[in-house]
Amino acid sequence: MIPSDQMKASLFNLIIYTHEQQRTDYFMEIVHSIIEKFPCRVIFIQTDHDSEISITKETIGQEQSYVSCDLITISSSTEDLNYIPFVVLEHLVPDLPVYLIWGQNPTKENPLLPHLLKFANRIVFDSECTPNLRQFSELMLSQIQSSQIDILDVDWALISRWRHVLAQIFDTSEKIDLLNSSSNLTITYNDRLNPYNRHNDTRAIYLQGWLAAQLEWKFESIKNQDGDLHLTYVTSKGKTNVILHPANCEKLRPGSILEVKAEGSKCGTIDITRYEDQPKVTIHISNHDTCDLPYNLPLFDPQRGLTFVKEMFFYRPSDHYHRMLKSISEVNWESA
Amino acid sequence: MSTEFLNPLEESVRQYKTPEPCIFVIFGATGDLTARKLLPALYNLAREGQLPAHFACVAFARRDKSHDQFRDEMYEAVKTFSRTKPIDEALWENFREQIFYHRSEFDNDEGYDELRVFLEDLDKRFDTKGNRVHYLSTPPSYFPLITEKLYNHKLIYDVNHEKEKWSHIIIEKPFGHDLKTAVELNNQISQYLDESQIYRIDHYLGKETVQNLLVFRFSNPIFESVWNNRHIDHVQITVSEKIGIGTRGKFFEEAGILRDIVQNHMMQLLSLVCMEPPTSLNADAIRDEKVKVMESLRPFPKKDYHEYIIRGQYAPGFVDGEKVIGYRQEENVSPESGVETFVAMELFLDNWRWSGVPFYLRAGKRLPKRATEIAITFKDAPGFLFNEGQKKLERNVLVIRIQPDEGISLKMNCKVPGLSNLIQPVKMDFRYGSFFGATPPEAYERLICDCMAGDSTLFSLADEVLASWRQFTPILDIWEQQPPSDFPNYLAGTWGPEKADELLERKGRRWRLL
Repeated sequence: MIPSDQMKASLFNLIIYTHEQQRTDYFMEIVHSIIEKFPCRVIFIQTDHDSEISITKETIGQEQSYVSCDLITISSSTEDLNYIPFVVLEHLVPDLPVYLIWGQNPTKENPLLPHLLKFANRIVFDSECTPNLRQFSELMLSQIQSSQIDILDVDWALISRWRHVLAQIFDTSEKIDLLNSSSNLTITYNDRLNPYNRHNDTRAIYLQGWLAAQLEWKFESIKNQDGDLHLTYVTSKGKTNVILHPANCEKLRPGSILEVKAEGSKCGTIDITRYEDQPKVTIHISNHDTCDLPYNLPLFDPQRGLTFVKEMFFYRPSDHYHRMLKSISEVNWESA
Repeated sequence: MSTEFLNPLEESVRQYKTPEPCIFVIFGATGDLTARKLLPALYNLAREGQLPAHFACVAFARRDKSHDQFRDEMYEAVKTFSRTKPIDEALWENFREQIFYHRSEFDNDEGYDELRVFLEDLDKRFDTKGNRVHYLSTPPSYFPLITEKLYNHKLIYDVNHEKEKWSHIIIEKPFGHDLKTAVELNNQISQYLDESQIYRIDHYLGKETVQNLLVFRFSNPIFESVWNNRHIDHVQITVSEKIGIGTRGKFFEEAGILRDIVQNHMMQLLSLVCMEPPTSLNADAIRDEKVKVMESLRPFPKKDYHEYIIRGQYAPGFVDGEKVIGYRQEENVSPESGVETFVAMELFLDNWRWSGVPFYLRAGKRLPKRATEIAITFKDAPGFLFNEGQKKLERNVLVIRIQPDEGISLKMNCKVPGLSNLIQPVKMDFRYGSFFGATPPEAYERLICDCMAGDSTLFSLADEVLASWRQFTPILDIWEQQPPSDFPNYLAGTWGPEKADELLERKGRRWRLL
């Protein structure tokens, strides 16, 4: 229930499109995390049934906040998709940026997308919707080169805290060397079955792709071994075997990164494990020379955090994202 | 900073600055500031992942305490004073292990030797790389002594020789009592420290809305193009407090509001409002422009100074409908005190942009409202079109509210609906709190984080401080020689003495009613 003394505010227009019913709750969760920090006009487009175009308007917001936002839900059949842009236009708040979250496989043609792109300032794709990650990353790269607007993706934003934590831990050339000299780098992710995610490994793939790109590792091979994906990279210190390992964790969201572990004769063991019940990681580094006391770093659930919102809507897409896409586009994921 | 290493995993667009591994040492750590501001700020930085991964905090004070005793006290302090509540117990459990207590007198050489050994040990345990932030949360009289001891005991490094690690010192205001003592203090600490190592903290500069002043001015050309004497009639800067002196009687008897608020906070606001666009956003570029503003302040005339600056002191009155005592009845205040609790002044800047534009500054205790704001009043519209048959048109006023209710409003004229041509002033209002739901960080969080990252943009430079003292020391000297004969001269709960109103009225202007 929204208190009557709330005032409406909008910092931007947020258009979300999904044609998959099971993703609606997931996107609504994202909407609530956004409006908690940045009130906006939300226009939610769904095309999951055969009815005629319908529009519902409601006010949403946090109970304890004195700011609320408009949520306009437009439902339509897939046949009526061409009409949607006309409906959207009349609901946009003028002079404010328009951000578009595209919850459909972008490699698949959709008549709505070109229309919406005309007035969007930024488009955020949902890599979860794509069955072919290589194709997706190639498309992203070509879009980034040809498009006038900023292009991002939800899963990239969702690993922002992990990227930040790894940058904090490996903050000297010596520590980067340790990472380069690891023979095994294991990334464990939450593969819990759920109704809305089918590709729980995407964030783990992104994280390893980002590390490989930033550390200039050269991809050599990929194979599937007992359910684990094994990628071999040539690094400045030799070869590193990256293992993406699925695990089941009830307390955390599917797709979450649970652990990053680097091992090798020179680097010893560098273990970064996420707590299940607290938003932080514990770091334990031990090798021939040292055995540091474990220490913790905060790792907020990015979906509820400011970092996620900033990442999606405020920061310029960084070179890191481009490089990560290039790195994962070199791998034929379907072959494994 | 010391390091040449560019971390390939660090995304420059994500975080504009990264605090480096360090040990944060607080001198005078059993004081109020540590409990109310510093530890809550460090806790919130840790909570938001803004503290360096390799970090420790050491409290240096004279009272006997164990690490655990101090940690328990700080737990209570963070629970009470943190901007985020409730305290994150799991986070605290981890954070408390990074807090330590070191007992010593400030003049005890052994204490500093032990501190150095202790910090070196912590460097090994926390991988803090020998970097130090020394926060002097002590009375200013200790600044020279502590700095000297730190230098002698190799707790601060010579910037010319040490490139691998760094040491910064944060000092709290007041930076001197007048120009002479400020110069002395500066000379004393400069023997041991390079200016680049000194971080003079003015918490006003850490406030989000104060930082927004730069963004507002230099990212909105619509305003910058009229930000000059051709379009602006005058500027009013107000720092008004509803509260009295409370328990700060002893301090205030020595300081007065000119030293406590005007010489530092208000001069910072003035320089941000008036500075020219910097060539870049780096610390030196911004501070250079601020110094130029300070240097262009026209000195008060010695003879007719009272035409330009007014002082006042509150008598008993009513605040929030309740009777309150006068300044002279406050605890630790002399019954004959001549210390000012209110000051209002007209200032001019002798530079191309602001020539002829008066700046009216007022600051006071026991005024009707708590408010800090900058109001830019624009010149009249040519009067021949709409002034006939109705009152004079209101001027456009742009108000930047610093606290409370941070935001920006613009007053403009608008036609009253109907057949007549009546005109009514209306207000466009942007409120920070309404639009950005995120709780902004406390000023100390931002400033501590900046210091750990080696960014001194939001700290005061010696030149700024001295230029400000240069402006006000002659007045302080005159006031000391000529005690006020009319004190107390305003009732608590009013907007200051009548003379303050006259300061503007003689030129056909009025203070804004806040």
